[in-house]
Amino acid sequence: MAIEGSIKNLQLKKHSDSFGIRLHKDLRKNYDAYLLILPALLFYILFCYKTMAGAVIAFKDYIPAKGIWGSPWAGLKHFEAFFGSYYFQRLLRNTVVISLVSLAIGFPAPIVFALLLNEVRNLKFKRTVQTITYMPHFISLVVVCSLIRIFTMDTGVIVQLLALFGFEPVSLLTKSRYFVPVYVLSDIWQHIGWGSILYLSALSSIDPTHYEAAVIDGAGRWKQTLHVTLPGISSTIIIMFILRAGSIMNVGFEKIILLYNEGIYETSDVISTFVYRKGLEQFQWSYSGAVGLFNSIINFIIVVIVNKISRRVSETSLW
Amino acid sequence: MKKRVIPILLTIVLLAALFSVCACTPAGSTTTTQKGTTTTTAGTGTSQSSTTATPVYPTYPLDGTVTLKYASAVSAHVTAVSTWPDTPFWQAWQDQTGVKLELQEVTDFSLLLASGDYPDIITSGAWGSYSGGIAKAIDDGIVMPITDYLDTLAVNYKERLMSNEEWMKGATTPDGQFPGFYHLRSNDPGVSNSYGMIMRKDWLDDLGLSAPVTADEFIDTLTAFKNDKSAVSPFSIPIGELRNMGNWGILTSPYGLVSTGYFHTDGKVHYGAFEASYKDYLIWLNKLFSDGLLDKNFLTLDTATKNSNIMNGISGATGGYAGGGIGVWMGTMKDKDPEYELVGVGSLVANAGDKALFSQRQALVPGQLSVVTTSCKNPEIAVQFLNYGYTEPGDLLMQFGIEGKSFEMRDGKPYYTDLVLKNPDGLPFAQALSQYDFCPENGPYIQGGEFCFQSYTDIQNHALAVWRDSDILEHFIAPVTIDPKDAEEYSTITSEIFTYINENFALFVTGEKSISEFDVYIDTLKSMKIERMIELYQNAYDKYMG
Repeated sequence: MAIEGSIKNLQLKKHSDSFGIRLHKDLRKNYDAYLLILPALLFYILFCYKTMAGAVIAFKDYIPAKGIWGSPWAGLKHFEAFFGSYYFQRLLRNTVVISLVSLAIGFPAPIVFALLLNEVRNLKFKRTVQTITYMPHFISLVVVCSLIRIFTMDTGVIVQLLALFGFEPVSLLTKSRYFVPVYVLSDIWQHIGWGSILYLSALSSIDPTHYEAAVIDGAGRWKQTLHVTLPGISSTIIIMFILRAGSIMNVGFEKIILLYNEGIYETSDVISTFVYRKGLEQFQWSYSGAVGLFNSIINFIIVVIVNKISRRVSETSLW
Repeated sequence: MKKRVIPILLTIVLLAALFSVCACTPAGSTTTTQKGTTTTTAGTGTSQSSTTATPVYPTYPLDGTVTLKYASAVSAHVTAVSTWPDTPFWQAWQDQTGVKLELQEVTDFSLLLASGDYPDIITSGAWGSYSGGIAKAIDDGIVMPITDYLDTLAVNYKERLMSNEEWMKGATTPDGQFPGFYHLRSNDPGVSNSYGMIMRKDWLDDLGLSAPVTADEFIDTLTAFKNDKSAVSPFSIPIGELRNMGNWGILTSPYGLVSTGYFHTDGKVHYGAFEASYKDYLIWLNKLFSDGLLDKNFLTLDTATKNSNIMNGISGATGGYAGGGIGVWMGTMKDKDPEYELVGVGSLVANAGDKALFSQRQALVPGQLSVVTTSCKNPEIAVQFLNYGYTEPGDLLMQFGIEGKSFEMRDGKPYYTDLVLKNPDGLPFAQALSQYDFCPENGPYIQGGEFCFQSYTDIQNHALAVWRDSDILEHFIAPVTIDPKDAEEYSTITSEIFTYINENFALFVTGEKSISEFDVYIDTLKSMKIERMIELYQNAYDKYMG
């Protein structure tokens, strides 16, 4: 309550004083609220902003014994090496393709799921479905990935099922063309239940009187969903979308590393797995630092652009 | 509706904070736990440097006041039973050397190095992959070389090195520095070789076949396994191991090369995957794959599945170790199927009667290195501590453990006792022994063949003998160190080339890439400067050979 109060205060205050004066006044008035936010603030300063300075190794030849600041400067050498790499185009292409497909299919899935679940009237059934769909989210990724590997072998249950419909029974993860579907679909299976929680809670906050009004106007189930439910959760959807867009270049490398193999690098090797191999297996810290920095900058640009568009179009935005 | 956005936003911020905890810790955590609790005592005790001709040997135990922070990965054999500091070995190691130890378990060597905050001693097999090699790690000020102590505090180590040329060369950097204490191996079976092809002996006998010798016979044998023994995947092996079988010449000897590795003929360095006959090897493997003889799932196969395949009759041939392969599989099947028997099969050859070109051989200096770091406050104590493994009593402790417990002396020779050979609690030999000694893990000592010889069955010892029957010593290149001035160029070239070669190996074997594209493959390798890579290696090899 205190936090919400102070935020409201900030918003309602007439913007006549300068920012410094207003902040000062507000600090005095709501010091307890600021105390509450202090630990979180410290956390970000210490563990996120302070370590961000370490990104400078991308421009150096990092030697651990000399430390980050003592290591010699290397200029843009590592960036040039990456852009000139034999694998640069493929890495970029795979990263973007996997991300966009995940976004296009993986992002709407929990929303649709939440909408469907919202229509279920039998509470017992609803809860059972929810519990079952949460479950994969809590299983260790290593276990999930070995499950996926076993299921997609030529003798695995998924391939055998597909074979009933005339699909050639091959081990899916040995063919580069099947990697993206396996990755994206298994991702949906893993996260659909967990991802829908946020939307379900947003759904429950829609004022029931809106539905009553819609019913009086003669709206059926479908029209209610279209004109009451969706607008009701649209701001949540947009915020989630902006956040998701900010990690377009961050394909989860743990999962890919657990699933890929040399035979399917063609579609599965992405920037983050490349960084992992370079940095942790080949000890080229500065080089992988440069690649990682490149990745983050692109992410940052995308999130700013998406946010700007969203603010103009729908008046909902992160900042 | 706008009101709702704020709580949701806060939830997201909190969630994000949770996730960033996970994201941020790797860099943070390694730095928090360190800084040795070293109690400073200048009393290094014992010997001082002397310039006399007679060496001064360190006397053990040392004065016992110094605590050293010892960083190392911990053997799975040890952790299967207890934690390392709780073992009798850990106690005996401290008592006999007179040094207090504090273990820092290393789970990620690269992160430890990147942290810039070092314990007193780091033991790792990954020093060789430090970008620029171990010589660079000395230049970079991480590793304190022990060169100056060789005639005094590390004199036992030096005398051992001088007794074997390959040891001496392998333990020296190109500019003549001694970076630390290397794990050394004798040339005994089971020590310098331990891996090879394994087949179902009972199946071979049933079918009236003898173990295959040539590449063609290998195909015939697998076909017989498939047809008459209904083996689903007669040759089941994960891609990484399949590649190794090529690297070690087990499958590639008929084609006169080792696939993704260096070898020499009369001093000229070759790289297998760039040789013309590599194409024939790929064609042969592709035939194995398309005929259903090589496991269809070899790209995604894991070791557990490989193991169960050879035990359940899904496969009849695979690769494995004498101990962890033959020993474990036959031990598991002993009660389930009394007929079940395995046999070691030597490297394949081109024509019957030939001697194989190559076989698996571990370098006598495999690269496991214990260094004293520049952060060590008591380098003289640390050097003497590590030197202990190369003294006579140290040798017994590291390989045989504690007298009266894990070994006993008979006629002046150490023999393992039944406490470890036939452990009353049913522990496997390696696990039981690891509570009392350092062996079979690599470390600062010299590993001899008694570990295998005394504990192995006839079948295992036979396998070790046939696996090493080859001309390998004429072609083998011990790991050489690239000249530091070329090191960066070399690692830049190799990091792309190795990815390319591994990937294309998989594509050619599965037929995803037609073998007609082999010329394109060779041209691409050339454009990636493979010739320069081989040239740099040749230079390093020439320097190594002196």
